[in-house]
Amino acid sequence: MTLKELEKRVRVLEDIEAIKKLHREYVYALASQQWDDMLGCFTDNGIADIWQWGVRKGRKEIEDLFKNTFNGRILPTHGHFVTQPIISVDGETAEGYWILYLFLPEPEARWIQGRHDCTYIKVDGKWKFSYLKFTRPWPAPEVITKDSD
Amino acid sequence: MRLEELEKRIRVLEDIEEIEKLHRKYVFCLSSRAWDDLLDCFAEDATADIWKHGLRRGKKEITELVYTVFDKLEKTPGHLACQPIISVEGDRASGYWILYLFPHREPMTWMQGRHDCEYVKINGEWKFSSVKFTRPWPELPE
Repeated sequence: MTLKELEKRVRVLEDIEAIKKLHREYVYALASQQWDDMLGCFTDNGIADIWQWGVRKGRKEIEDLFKNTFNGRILPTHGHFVTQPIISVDGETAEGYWILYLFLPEPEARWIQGRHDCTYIKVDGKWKFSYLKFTRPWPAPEVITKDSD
Repeated sequence: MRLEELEKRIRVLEDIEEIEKLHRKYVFCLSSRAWDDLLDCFAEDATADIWKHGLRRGKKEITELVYTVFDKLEKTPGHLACQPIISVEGDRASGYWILYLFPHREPMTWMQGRHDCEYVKINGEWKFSSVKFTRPWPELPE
């Protein structure tokens, strides 16, 4: 084991940590409706594919999604958190998936389980989303329901 | 890259892991009413600023908070801390977490809050130097 090889392994651990931070910061910003902070988590040509809202390519389209579709629909009374990260780093790119829980408020409090599937890229030493897909519910109802046959 | 520099980078990763452990243990203790273990998570001169209960300074005041507030709860709710963001600076660190509370009542309900903390390494062990718990988080508009 040379020092250079060891440094490479340490770098992977640091990258995983930095990617987790990026992803969690995104969800803090989502929960508090900080649209510009969320936007800052994407590369200029990043892609967002969020639930029923369709694929948005590039910062301008994603900004439109956040400020014109999410704004007023995602509220401070909604809870969001992500957990269970699985991150795989390959040099300056990475991929990962997470569970995302969404909590809706009283009077009929309920929860929805969803999933983030992402690719990340390191730009000027900082990790960003190059792709973010949000699926809900996850798993799909037909997957979680036992076959009656 | 010298060996000392690399050791320093590894130390930061280890510290983040240790701090997350401390914080999660604290939340395990909250849920299981393990007050002595919970108090052990704090440095002697730590502060605790928990929701509406006001700022408590030092272990004595925090112990009083635990026994006059936490221990008085008829039923302790479910607790889940997640989304840690930890920044380490030598023997000090800061961080924040989402904390969910699930009260034991029907119909089902939930509360989202947030921990904002400072940590200090004393004799090689990380402890809270301050814990602030805010709920609901985000704050709701008036």
